[in-house]
Parts: sequence; structure tokens; C-alpha cells
Amino acid sequence: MRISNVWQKRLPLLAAALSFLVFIVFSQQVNADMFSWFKKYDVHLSPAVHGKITFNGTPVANVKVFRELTYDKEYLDHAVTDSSGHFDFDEKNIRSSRPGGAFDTAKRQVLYVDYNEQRYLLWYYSTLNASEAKTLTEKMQQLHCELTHPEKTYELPNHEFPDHPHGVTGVCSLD
Amino acid sequence: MATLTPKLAVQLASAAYDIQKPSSSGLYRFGKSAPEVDKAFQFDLSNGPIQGISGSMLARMLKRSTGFAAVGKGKAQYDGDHVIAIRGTASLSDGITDAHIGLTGGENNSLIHAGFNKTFQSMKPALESTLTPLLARSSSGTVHCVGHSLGGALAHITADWVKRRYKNKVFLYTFGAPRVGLDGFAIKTSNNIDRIFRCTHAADPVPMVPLWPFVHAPYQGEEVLLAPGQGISFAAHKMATEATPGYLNTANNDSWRSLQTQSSVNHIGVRLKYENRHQASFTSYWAEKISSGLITLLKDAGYYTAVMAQAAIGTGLTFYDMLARTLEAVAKASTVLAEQTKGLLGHMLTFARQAVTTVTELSFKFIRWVFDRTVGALYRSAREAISSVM
Repeated sequence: MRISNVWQKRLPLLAAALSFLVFIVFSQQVNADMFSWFKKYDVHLSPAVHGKITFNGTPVANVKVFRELTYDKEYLDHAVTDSSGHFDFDEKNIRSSRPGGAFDTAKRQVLYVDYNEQRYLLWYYSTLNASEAKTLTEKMQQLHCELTHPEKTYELPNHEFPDHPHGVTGVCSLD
Repeated sequence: MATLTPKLAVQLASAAYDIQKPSSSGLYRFGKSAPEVDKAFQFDLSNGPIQGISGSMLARMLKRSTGFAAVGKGKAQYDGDHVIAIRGTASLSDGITDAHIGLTGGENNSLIHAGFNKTFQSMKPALESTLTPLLARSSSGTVHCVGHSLGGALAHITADWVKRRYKNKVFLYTFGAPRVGLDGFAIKTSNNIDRIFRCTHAADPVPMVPLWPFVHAPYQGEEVLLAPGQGISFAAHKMATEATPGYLNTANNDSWRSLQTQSSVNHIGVRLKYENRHQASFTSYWAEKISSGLITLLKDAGYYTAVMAQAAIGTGLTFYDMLARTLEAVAKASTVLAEQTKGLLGHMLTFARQAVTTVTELSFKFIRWVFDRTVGALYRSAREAISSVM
């Protein structure tokens, strides 16, 4: 009688301990997911850009070139062309928790210049990938943008995901 | 007359994310970054994308309405056709992962999710003023409605509205979209919309919510299962090519015929045996199977119509309180029904990954607790999928 009494008391205690353990294990799992939201990932917004702007073959000097990068919010900076029409931007990377989530976030790269009261689109590209694309990094190393050329969309090979060619639009020649 | 290829449809759904954030320069080149889209459709966003308002009062006060939809004109093979590409928004996610889901009478007088309807109503005037002049010129062309995630839900309501408003042929393509309305809405839209391609990944939790009595369209029809798989993972909801599996990768196909289709689970005659409860697992298959078990039980007990009616009119109780009260009554009606109820609850506990799955009582309190566990497990994973990055 005494023994079974002890067991009767211990059983709920054991069950409680066991369910506490289970709770810890499961809640840890949930927490792991929860904290992955706060984990930050690298997002490659833009590679370094080196370009040259001309108008009818003449270098366009001393104009502001804008780089509008959008990923959740907008990152705007600008460069000024030198006497030979050249401009440069540094590579731009940010840290974000968004790649860890499951909702896609668009990344947009826009380069433009205002010249003679007109806005010219040099480069437009958008993607859902946070990572860098080799082809685009290479193209941005040497952009030649003749402002009298019409805007054109180029289909460029995708090095990382060959089934999904990139589409880039602008007046810069990408051939 | 031609349908969009899976490849084109998924790229359009993906392009819709391009209008997620406004551009201070106003330089949108919608669809230009996706070569398939650029070859088939032409978008004029000189007046900006079609806006709508969703989300909190604060967001509305700040007028942070962003682009929801873009309308494109078909060219080449799609000459005369139009496309409406709609994106989702994380602020709508609260509504589909909340047990207290608001229902409202939609455009076609059937019950739909109140949050989706509100967002659709906010974009409808702009949509109408864009479409009317375009469709006046091409009444014979097809209107293709496309969207991923919550954008798929909005595309569904849009497709049904376009069909009734303009009489053009309307095709709907959704990727990882949640359920939009009750069976009335699913039946009406299945009949009204000319073709529905509902694409899913087996591990994507979003198409599994909101739970029954919400149902998918095509009603008792087929879904396009782009990636089979075990388990439920919120990453399976993504589109990006760098995601695994990523809808952009799995739908990258020229023909619908070569993709795998799967009939939705037949809701009739699923009687779950208590001793088999350990066969259940936390998968989309079992989420469906358990829903069917519940519907079968309510039908067997003769309560189905009453429950549906109560869900429709809304009672003071929450839906799951009402359902738990009903099951308590069902279990008391006969030993056979009690055993069937026990089987259903046992499967629910295994599905919800509870350590203990024994069903010892069939009281309201216990049944309500089992619902909490089951619904909680599914809604938690769906919530992670959608709103983790709000």
C-alpha cells in the first residue's frame, strides 16, 4: 500500500518533469525559428560601377549621376562625372534580416542622370535574389552610356542560374 | 485564347514585387528585368502602379500606400490579351493566421475573407479606370490575373470581378496563395473564371490557411503541385531563384501538361480511426485529411449544414468555440460518433506534434484545447512564412 502510494505521488511528478523537458525541447525549436528572423544576412545591393557618359560622342562633364538602390527601403547616392565624362560608385552591401524570412523582397538597381532638363535612364535591373550576379558585376565595370541612344533592354546570361537570363534596361551599351 | 506558360506566369507574379517599394526617381521599368515578360507584355507605368491600401490605421494615416498591381498589354502571341499582375503584402497576413477571421459579403455575394476584400475594394477604382478603356477595344482578348502569396488571393478576387464586369475570357494563375473564401465563393468562382491554375509546393504552409471552412478554388478540382515534399517549411513559400525550391525554379516550364497535378482530397467519407492516429504527421497531406475527417464527422452526425450556417452568420462565440461545442454534442449522440470524434482528435494531436496523443475525455474544454494545439501549430508556421519579415 505504502509503495503504491509513493508511486501514485511520483507518477504525476515524473509526468510533469517529462512534459517540462518536452516543452523545453520544443520551445527551443520554436525559438530557433524565431531568432532566425533577427539574424542578419548579407545583401548585395550593387557592385562597384565604372562608367562614362557622352552626348553625341562628346564627354558629359560635371553632371550628377544618381544611384537609386531599393531593398525594403531606398539607398540613394550620387557621383559627379569628371572632365572626360567618367564616374565611379563603390560596391554597396547591407546587412538585413529579410533573406531569413519567407516573404520575397525585391532588389532594384537604378542609375540615372539629369542632363539638359531631361532624365536619362542608364541602368534598370530588379531581382528577388539578395546575392551578387557575376555577369552584372562585370558589365558594371565598364558602362558606356551615349545619351542620344534610345533606351534598350538587353538579355544577359545568368552565371549563377543559367535558366533565368537577366534583363537590363537603359541607354548604356551592354553588347 | 492561349494560356500563359508556367514560366511566363511565375515571372509575372515575381515582377509584381518590383512595385513593392516606391521609387523616388519614378523610373519604373516593370517586367523589363524578366525577359519572358518583356517579350509577351508591355507595361506603361508612367502614372505609377495601381495603388491600394492595406494594413494598420497608422500606415493609412501616413498614406504609405504602395503599388499593388500593374496592368500590361499583350504583344506577339498574346496580342489582344491583357495581364493583371498583383503582389502580396505582409500587412494582410494577420488576417489569415488569426483564428478570429472576419468574413464579409464579397463582390459576388458569397462570403470571403474581410481583409482581402477590403484591400481589393481599395484598388478597384484604379483598376476599373485602367481596364475600362483597354478592354473597350478588345472584348475578345483574354485577361490573365497573376499573383503569388497574398497577391494570389487578390488576383483570385480580381479575376472573378473582371469576368463579371467585362465579360472577357479570364484565366487565373496563383502561386502559394491562401484560401480566399467559404465554399460558396469557391464554387461560384470555379464556375465563373474560365481557367484556374493553382500552383503550390507541398511544404509551403500558406496554401493550407485559413483552415476550413475556407476552401480553395477550383472547387474539388486540381492543383498544380510544383514540388512534392515532406514536412512544412516556411522557406518553401519563396519565389526567388536562390530559394529552395523557389517558385521561379519549379515553375520554369513551357507547358502545363508536363507539370504534376494533384486532385484535392475528397472531403467525403474520411473516418479517422483512433488506433491509427500515429500515422498522422505535420504535412499538408494530413492537414487536408484532418479537415476532411472533421467535415465527414459533422455530415455523419447531421450537423454540417448547421455549422456552415453558423459560420456564415457569425455567432457571439468564436468559430472554434462553436465547433468544439458541436463536437461535444456529436460525441454524446452515439458511441459510434464518439469513437469517430476520438479518432479525429487523436489525429489532430499527432499532427500538432503533441507528446501525448491519448484522448481521455470528450468534453468541450478538452476538444477546444485540441483545436488550439492543431490550429496553433499550422497558423504558427504560416505566420512565420509570411510575416517574419514585416
